[in-house]
Amino acid sequence: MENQRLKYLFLAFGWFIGIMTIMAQHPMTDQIILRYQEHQDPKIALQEMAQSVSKEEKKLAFVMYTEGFLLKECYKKNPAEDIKISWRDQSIEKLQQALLAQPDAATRDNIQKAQKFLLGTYFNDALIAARSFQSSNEALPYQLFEKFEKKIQQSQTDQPVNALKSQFYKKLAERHYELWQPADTILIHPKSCINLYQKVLLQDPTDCEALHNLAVLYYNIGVNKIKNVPSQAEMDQLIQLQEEAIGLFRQALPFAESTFQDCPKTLSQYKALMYIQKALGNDEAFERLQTEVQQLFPND
Amino acid sequence: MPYFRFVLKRSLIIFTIFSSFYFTASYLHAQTLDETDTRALMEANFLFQFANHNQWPSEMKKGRFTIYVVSNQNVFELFQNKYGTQTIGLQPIDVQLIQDINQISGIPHLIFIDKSKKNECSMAQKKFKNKSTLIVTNFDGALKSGAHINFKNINGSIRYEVNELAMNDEKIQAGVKILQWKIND
Repeated sequence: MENQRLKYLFLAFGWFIGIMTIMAQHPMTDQIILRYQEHQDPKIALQEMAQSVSKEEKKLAFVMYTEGFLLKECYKKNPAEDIKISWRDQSIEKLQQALLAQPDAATRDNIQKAQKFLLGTYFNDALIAARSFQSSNEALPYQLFEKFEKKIQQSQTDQPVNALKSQFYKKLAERHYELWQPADTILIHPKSCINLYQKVLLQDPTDCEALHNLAVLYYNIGVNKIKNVPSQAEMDQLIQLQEEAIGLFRQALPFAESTFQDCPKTLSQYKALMYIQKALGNDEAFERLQTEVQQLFPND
Repeated sequence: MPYFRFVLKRSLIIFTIFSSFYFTASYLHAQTLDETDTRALMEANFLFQFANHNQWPSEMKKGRFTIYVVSNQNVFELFQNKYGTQTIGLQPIDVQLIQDINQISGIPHLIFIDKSKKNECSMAQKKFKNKSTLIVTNFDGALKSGAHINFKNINGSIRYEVNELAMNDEKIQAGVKILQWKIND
């Protein structure tokens, strides 16, 4: 009984010593952290770390992680300034160094979460640029996405790069579609749009969004051709433009049909196939689909 | 500093949720379908070609060029929007939508009868026989019912067949371009 008590006492003492040792590994950092919790200014905390943390302490995983964390906080407080100061880049680098310095499990977990957050911001930059670019800065979203990919490599984190790339392509395609002017007969933006959705389908041939939007895109380009027939057009030109439009409707058809294989049934999906069938003069198919729509979506 | 570690951890959980939102923020973005009735638009385009390239007798080349569209709202609207302000020679176009032949007053230059009103075709042929009125339709067998020009679906494209003899009877001379692009039985 007495031996058992001594054993527990000894274990408790060992645990206490262990905790104290861990805490004592980075005393300056801990003090800076305490102050940071009060003033909440990561720049001041970083300055303090630069001035007062010893060289030896700076090599510790938790200290490097803390620095990376504070750099990340600087970015979060003022993301617009990051272009000049590159807090994110520095943070990623510091966090990577912390990972290599064999941190404990909890710190490792926190480092990986911080890295994931930072990578998310690079990806978001690319997405935002993809959704808002103009013809004059079309290369910017690609540059930002490349940077995101580079950071993934640098941080050696596991990310679903292909899925994210598809998401990026879709956002670019949406923007190209927005920039398409009906009077544009060279079809610069619609062609880019088609290329991007084709790339998405290379990653996943059943991607519902890409399939549907390709169907709509080919169809709308065809409709636009017919709408743009000049009122003074000769019969030859009229027939030629009609043939081109019909060719596009035929290209749209398999994409619209594919959405009925694996995708959830939606009204817009039915509408696309209905209108394509109608444009191709397939009245029976159009009427059959119309009846289905009335049964499936009675309130629309 | 266990408390700080807790704060760091808590903050990171929030940031992770935040970043995960962007990482998985993939929603279906459907492009908007242009719901223009392309068949009706093509038929309207062809009607203008028929009006413009066929020759009516001189007594019909006065006043307005009158077109009646029977029971096809889309063809009427699309024709009106695109060609409503055009002229055929010197004649301004006057296009009207009706539901049956009895609503026609005077002698029109052209009547387009939609397939939903097939029966009106033979009535129109009787009513306007020898009046130089061109009857255009879009259903199978229409030429036998008295139509002069009938739209056909050829592999998805709208084309047309012509009863040239019946047009001659009405003293309407079929244009070269019209005959060049007609389909033969």
